[in-house]
Amino acid sequence: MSMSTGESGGVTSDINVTPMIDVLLVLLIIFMIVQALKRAAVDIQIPAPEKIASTSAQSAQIVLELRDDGSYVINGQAATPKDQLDRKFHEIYDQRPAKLLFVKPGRNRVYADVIEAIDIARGAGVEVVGFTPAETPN
Amino acid sequence: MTAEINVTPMIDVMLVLLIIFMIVTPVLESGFQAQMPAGLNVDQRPEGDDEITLGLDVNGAYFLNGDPVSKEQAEAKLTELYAARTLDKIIFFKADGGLKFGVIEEAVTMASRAGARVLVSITDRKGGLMAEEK
Repeated sequence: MSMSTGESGGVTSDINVTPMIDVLLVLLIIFMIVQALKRAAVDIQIPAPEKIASTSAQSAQIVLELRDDGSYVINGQAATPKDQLDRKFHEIYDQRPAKLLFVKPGRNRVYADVIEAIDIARGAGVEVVGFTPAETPN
Repeated sequence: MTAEINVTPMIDVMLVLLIIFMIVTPVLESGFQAQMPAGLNVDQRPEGDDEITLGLDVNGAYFLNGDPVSKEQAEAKLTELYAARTLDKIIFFKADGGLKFGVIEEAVTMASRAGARVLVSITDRKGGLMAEEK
């Protein structure tokens, strides 16, 4: 019985991957949970449907229009370039207690642009964002 | 010398495959494909249980809580859901960033008619999952 040194009589050269797979599994589960918990979102108020669009009265509301030609217009003034939006929003909202913005995108604007504009506004201190009622084609 | 096969790594691999398929299958089944727009100043909204989610995929097709539906079906279903819902009138909205706002507006108007009052637009976070909280 001189050969009883090892079970298989040699050194196995295979790497044991089991602990690695275990760790990867745990990481996968951790990322799944983190993803679910860290879901990002932007709240937007949507108008009630029955409201009649007769709000032509001059008010202190701020309306950001995203026109189909790619311009950004605040309250019907001259178009603001996109990189100036943040400064403009700061100008408007820094002294306003009501951090409310209405957004009125053109029908051909891309949704990502709309969210980006809302994102800029939120960065400048806007707290509540709402869509204006859709104009029903007569 | 043991004659038994070590099944542990096999079980590990099977488990991983199982999890991968669990994740992939609902996505494949519903065919919901959308790249959500990304933002920096976004809120953190952990997923809850009792949510109503409306999806608009890259082709503008409607998905209600993950299932593909027609626009008319979606409105009928949403009206039913919101009529029975007392706690909030929130609609979680997942739409592809490349869609025209006309398509989005239609969905928003529809949701509004069905009784939703707050739209929570699910976005991506610029800078990835571990980005700094704003």
